[in-house]
Amino acid sequence: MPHQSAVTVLAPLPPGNRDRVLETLADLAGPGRSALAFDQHPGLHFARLLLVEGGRSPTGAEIGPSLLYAADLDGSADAHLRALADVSAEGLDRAFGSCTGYPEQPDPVGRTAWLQAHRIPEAAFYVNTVGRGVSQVLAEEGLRRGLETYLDEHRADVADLSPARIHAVLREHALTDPQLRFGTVSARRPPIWWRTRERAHLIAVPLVLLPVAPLVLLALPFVAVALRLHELRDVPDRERPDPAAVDRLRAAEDRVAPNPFAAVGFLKPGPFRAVLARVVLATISYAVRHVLNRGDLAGVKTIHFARWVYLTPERMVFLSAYDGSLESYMNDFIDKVAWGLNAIFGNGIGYPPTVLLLWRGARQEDLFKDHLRNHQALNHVWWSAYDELTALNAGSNAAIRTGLARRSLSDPEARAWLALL
Amino acid sequence: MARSALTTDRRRMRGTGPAPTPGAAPHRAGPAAAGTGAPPPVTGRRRGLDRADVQGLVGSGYGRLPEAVFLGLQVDDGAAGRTLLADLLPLVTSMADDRTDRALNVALSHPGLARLGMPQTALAGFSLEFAGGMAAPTRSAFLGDVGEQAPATWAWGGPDNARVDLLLFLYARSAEELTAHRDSVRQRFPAAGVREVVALPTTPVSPRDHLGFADGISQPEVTGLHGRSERGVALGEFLLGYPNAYGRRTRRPLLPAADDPGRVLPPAPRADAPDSVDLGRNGSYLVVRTLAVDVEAFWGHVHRWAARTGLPAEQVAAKMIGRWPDGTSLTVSPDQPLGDEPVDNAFRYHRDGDAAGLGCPIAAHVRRANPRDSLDPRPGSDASVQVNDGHRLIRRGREYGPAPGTSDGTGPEGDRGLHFLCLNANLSRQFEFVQHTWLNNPAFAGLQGSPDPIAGHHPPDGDGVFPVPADPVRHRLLDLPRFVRLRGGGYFFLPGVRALHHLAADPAHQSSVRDGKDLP
Repeated sequence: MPHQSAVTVLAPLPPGNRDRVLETLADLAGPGRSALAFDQHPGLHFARLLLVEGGRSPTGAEIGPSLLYAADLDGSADAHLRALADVSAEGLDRAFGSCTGYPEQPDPVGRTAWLQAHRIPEAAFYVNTVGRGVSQVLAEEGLRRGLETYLDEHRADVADLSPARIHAVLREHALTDPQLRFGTVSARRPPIWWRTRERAHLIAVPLVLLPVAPLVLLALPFVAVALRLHELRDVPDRERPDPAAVDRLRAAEDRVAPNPFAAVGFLKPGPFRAVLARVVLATISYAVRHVLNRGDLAGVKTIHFARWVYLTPERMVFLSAYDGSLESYMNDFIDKVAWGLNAIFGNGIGYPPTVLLLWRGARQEDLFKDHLRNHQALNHVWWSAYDELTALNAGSNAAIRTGLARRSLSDPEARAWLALL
Repeated sequence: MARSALTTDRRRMRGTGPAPTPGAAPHRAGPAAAGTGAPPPVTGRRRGLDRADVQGLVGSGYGRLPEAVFLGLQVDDGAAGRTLLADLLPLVTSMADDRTDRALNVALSHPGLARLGMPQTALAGFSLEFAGGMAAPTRSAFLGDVGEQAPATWAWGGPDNARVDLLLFLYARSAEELTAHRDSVRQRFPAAGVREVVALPTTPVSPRDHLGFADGISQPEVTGLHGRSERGVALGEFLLGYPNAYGRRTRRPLLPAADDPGRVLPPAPRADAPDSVDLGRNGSYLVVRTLAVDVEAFWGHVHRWAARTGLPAEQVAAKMIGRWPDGTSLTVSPDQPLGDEPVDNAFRYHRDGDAAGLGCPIAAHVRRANPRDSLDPRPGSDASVQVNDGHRLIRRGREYGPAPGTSDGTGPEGDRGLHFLCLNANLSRQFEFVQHTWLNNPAFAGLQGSPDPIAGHHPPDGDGVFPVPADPVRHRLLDLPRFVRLRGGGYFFLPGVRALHHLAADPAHQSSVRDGKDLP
């Protein structure tokens, strides 16, 4: 069972090439899909290419358009880039060929080097369930289907047995079926070196911060006052989303599972906001790495992966893969984690007014939904390894396998386990 | 939402007063209209609800008036449309006229509002969903109105049908009185410029819907709608101009005060726009969906799976609906109907011990149309109910077509179904969310491959499954057929009474004139 990694590649392109890149991306999303060969990468969960439009930063800097590649994958990011440069060469050359400095005569080594050079770090990376790889997700869906079919056909034979006995019957069935046999053994955990590293990080960060904690506590009231003064000067965005742009976005979203989401925005200018955003992101990064890594992002259970990335020191992109509709996604944000959204996106220009960063903000439903639409970006190419499975489904399937892998269950345990089927 | 449309409103109909005195004037206009067509005075009350300014359909489904017909009109000439609207104003029933023995309500589509001369700036104040209409491609994809259900196949409201700019809702006590009411309305149609393009007859209100089930039981309690102080869903969830579930006033068209020289419209709150009047206040979005119901296919499926599972047919049907035919909740009484009148409707799924759906299946129609306390955050908590409250609908549907002859539906053949009507202030968060994320979604609440068995979108020969939780092993009903087919519909706006008066007035004096005649 592998750990999960993120890859983000950002490549500037000459403004004159923008339209050509858009055409290429439209082709790569449609008739030319096979050129990217994403299905040839075994551990790839999701991949996307999007053209990030240029703009003028709040400090007046002119930013040109760029092409962004993002992937959520099992195993190491370096290995993925190497595989990409080889297996997906045709698509890469077509997509990135118009970008500044792409090799004239690309070969796998040259492409890998170029991708590595354009890789940018994620400020925070959320994984729904750390350790659950693509092959496991797909296999466990097959396991559920197999057990469901068995129960459909044999319900009358087992309905009078005790729950523990039914579990035993299903286990015996799985042991005799070569397709299901893997499910009688627990999924492997990520490698020991990786777990050790994570545990060291879990402990080291608080240890390092402990000595400065009193200082932070003393500073908090002053930070709060400074924050409030900044907030009073903020100008919320009152612009309504362009109906045509919303229609374009809608045409590509609202699938059952999973949908790509992307939003791009500038941070509020000034060192105070810059530092605040870094601190919040560092906190989020630590929290999602060690605490919120079991199917639940502070109450939202429909997100497969998410990442926050600095495009420039003043500009950020948020990318996620979520289940359901954008409307339900936004409602989840507002109803369940408004404070979390506020904490990070409240540092973005035009965000609905916040009070001490955590309050109000997204709770102003209409302002928040407009703001989000105004900053949403199209994912021009999107690829998913599992189109029909929600994060909840994958979690439930994993629980089915965990139960099946146990040699025996007590009646109450078996009853709860059978309710998953 | 199919069944929901079989709303009869007979139980919880508010404002149903004593029967009108026989021989009373056929249409006593209420204080709002007073027979003069004058708009109700602006009361200046900012908090309480001005009932005379709210069309009656918001307050009740007119259960006291069992006969109804809906007329769709196309407006080719804006002036003729305004004349008609002005002529109809004295007949329009407000919530204050709660004892009339006939009723008329008027709703308009977005193109209809444009035809009547509403300026572009005001038109842009409506929600995107309403402006685009229910038959817009992105809405069809979202709502599952594709394939056999696509707008191109509709009997009305689709791209190949005549445009419905104005939809009139007529109600009366008897068939004879409805005919007279309809004729008197039709007499007011101008000779040219407005055409009736669709008439939707309905079945007299009855205690059971075509499938044989009581319906319309769960309507939201709305704070302040009926003048009581009970705690409920925020008024702004259903009427524009009031704080909604998030304490915000949903976006709506506001006009410069200069565009309302007669001071017909209420002033807009200063915080929203200074020196403006509120065209949306006391109005609501009205969703109309004509859903043909295949009663025979439903009971055929029920009997087939009753035989295969060994469960009684009535129980299989009840599991799919989520209530017993008499309305008793399966959570309240899993094994038999109670026959209570009124039914216990204060239950919650998690709090009352039905988290796993052993009583009412998770996938059952009524449980997913209104999950109560079933969903995150913290199922079983008030916080869960509070989130649920952001997705409520006031249902006002009426059935159409002959009632099936016997209780199991093997009666006279015929086109029958439901004109599903619902009211909400935010189409995207309320109606569309319920249809997409709760009914159609095969992964609702962690399910897999299980759309709503009655109203959810799924391919006609699809592999939809309906899991019936049971101890220790669930049943699964496979090969779910489609029982409901969308035959027409649209998004309409049900304006406040004063807004209707404003729309009926000649816009020539307004700052941004746009007459229907000039439209393509």
